[in-house]
Amino acid sequence: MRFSPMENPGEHPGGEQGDVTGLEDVIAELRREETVRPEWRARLEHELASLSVPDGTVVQRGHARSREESDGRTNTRGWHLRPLTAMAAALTFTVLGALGSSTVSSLLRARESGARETGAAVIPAATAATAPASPGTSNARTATVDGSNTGVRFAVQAPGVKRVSLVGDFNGWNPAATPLSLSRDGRTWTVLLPLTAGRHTYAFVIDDEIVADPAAPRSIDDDFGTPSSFVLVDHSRGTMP
Amino acid sequence: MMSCTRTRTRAHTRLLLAGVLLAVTSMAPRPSHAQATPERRTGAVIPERLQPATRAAIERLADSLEAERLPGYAVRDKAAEGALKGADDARILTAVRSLAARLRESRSLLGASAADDELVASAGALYSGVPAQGIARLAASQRQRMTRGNASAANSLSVPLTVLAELTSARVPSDVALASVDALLSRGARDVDFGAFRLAVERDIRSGRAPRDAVSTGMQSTLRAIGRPPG
Repeated sequence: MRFSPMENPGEHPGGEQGDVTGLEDVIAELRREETVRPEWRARLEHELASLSVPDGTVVQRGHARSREESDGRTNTRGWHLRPLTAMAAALTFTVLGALGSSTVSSLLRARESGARETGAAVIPAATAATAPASPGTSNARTATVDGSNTGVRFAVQAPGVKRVSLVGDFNGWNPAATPLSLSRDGRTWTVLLPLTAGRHTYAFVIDDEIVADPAAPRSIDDDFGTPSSFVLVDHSRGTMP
Repeated sequence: MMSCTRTRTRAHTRLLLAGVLLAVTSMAPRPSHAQATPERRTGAVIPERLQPATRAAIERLADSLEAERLPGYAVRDKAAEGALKGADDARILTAVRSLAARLRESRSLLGASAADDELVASAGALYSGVPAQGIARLAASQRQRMTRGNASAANSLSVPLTVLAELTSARVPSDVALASVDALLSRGARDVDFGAFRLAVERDIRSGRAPRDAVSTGMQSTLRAIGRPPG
């Protein structure tokens, strides 16, 4: 390799032209392909061939390496993944994870929901399912409130009326929120309602008339002159008392 | 060339590891909405048939209760109940203000840890005429039992306070009602036991027995059913 004396370019005999020529020489030298002497290549190949490989181990290029210190050599072990394979594997794991998560969440929700539903029980608040006729109505009405596996069942016998709904602190006293359905007997209106544990004040609205449940205790905190009833719901027990 | 291959392989491995990590992360069960954010009741929508000034006053009252960590929903529910029952604005305002005052008093009686339903039940007990000191004593006794490690003392006071209110409104002397509820709590009575007790007392009173006697009989039958020593 030849180098031009570049310590002080300004003093080059050829002036600027000489500088350019010297630079081109350096570039050409740097671009020249390095040749390996045949004897060096032979020696390198010989040494590589003499490296022993553990029995049955296929040496591959990879990124997972373990250094075996015993013989001071580096033994490369690993696996090779193509980009598409890696992406497919990642996608598979993600989909599996999402499915697993969904399944686990569903199971948890089902368990939680089951616990809530099977735990609904109405604390005894009324002695009988029958009660005197409500004042101002011509037909005798009886009502029941039962805890069941799926909620609290409200029922009232009100034959000959057009519509019955349930109002209370659980539905914002909204008469349109919880309509009762007429049973096959044509007399009994029922609704099954999931209620949170605790005390709930309620009343029936029978053809636009607000009527306290004739079979349940009256709510004491009646500020408006029209009585309501209350029901105590206990979720700590799975059966009706 | 070799270095380029390594870099690519490392990138693939990182991609794979990221996928595995994502899968494992997504496998972890996510909490349900109810678990993540405890649902707080908002109460009824204040009916539009009330005057705007009345509605605004009720909203302000509910908001101020909620700011004090009191159940503002209770006054919204009360307003909706009054509107449905045809009460005029003045009567509804009186009712909700009275309820708000009882809720605030209940907080001072039951303490900072009292739950919303306990505060509402305590407000009902005050409404029915249970003395405030009696409610405070009951709550203090329950706290003492909890301190002594009585597991059932951790149960809500909501139903016991409701039963207390019902007994008092059924003309059971408040000291008798308080003593009976306290005795049941000391025996570790559950909500369902309180319900059975209340039912027995109501049945006896309806059949003509004196309220004090009805409580005595109801206590005996309920304690027999519980069968646990005082806690």
